[in-house]
Amino acid sequence: MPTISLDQAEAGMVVSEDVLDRKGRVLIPKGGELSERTLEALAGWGVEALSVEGGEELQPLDPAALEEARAALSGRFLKTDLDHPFVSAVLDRAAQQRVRSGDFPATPVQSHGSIT
Amino acid sequence: MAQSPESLVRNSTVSSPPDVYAKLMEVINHPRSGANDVAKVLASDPGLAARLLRIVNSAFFGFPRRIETMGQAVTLVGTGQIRDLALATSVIRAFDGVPDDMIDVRDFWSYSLATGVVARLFGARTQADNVERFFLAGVLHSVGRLLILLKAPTEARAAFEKARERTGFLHEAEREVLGFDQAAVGAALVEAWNLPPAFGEAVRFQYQPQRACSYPHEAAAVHLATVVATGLEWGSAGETLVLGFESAAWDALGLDLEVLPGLLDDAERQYQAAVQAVSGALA
Repeated sequence: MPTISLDQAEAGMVVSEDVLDRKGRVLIPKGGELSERTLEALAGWGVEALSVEGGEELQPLDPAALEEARAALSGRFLKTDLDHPFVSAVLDRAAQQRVRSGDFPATPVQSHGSIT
Repeated sequence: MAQSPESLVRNSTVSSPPDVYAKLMEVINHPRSGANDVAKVLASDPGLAARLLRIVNSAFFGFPRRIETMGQAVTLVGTGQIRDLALATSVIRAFDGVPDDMIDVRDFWSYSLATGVVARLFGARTQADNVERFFLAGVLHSVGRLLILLKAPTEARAAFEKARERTGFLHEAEREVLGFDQAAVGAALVEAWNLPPAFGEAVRFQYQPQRACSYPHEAAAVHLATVVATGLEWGSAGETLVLGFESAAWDALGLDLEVLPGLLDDAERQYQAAVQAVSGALA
């Protein structure tokens, strides 16, 4: 389910997640097919990216590296409620981010994202 | 003499909001003024106008066409929203001279912007009328810490050391050392600035959002946004641990967990955009 920018979207593609405007209103529900007309409408609504079915999947991440990243993050999540699905989703994302940024496996931890 | 959140605010150079905010309030509240007058106020500060145009033309809004003038920006974004955006991107300038031996000021604002971006996305998903209010509340939620660093550096250092020694929350250490934490100072600041009450509540109750009676969504969104920003290590305001999570905050927003992956994707893009758009303010 890759996320693509609106100018990469083509008629005939099927959206894999609801397409929302910036107030969160659903413009095209999950499973809807894009047409030339809907693409124009999306541009008019200010949509700039959307998820579509199929296409090029992101490279799957190495499970061992993800596990290592999760372990390294456990201190940061020590005092929060990892049993709540919201928090565990944030931890999953944090581990993926560390692996994608090349920190794992086996390089020292770097702080992520700052104004430079 | 004992310190209080109010005394820290009173004795600081930021006891009143950035000039542009007062000017904007005046114009917006004037019955006969319009978008044009708001645009004029914004355009009178070229640095601010440039930041606003960068942000309005970024992934933050994703407008289909390029917005060239302040007038277009005000019309498209709305006067109340552009006022909140203007304050969010000029507040950085107001806190010049914060000692950077305990926190990195760039990391601080990166984290504040990240929290604002995520809070704003929560606001958008819950159909809030002014999503920039959520953004501004997120951007402001930790400014109390800057005031503590500026006006009570000894106590600030003691709190940092205490938190580090026992791997605890910095805001809890602040309470022990000062008798109050950065959230109380931040709330005192936005109240001194006469910002609408939603901001005071969202900042004051960022650690206990269920106590926000009048603006539960704003407080819940800020609470959840700090969990995301701290968890994903998007900048830092000195706190190295993800907050004790209040599940009531998640329940208050009434969102389905399925929105989360898409929201985090949007957040990452918009966070980068926000940092780029305001980085000039940190030069």
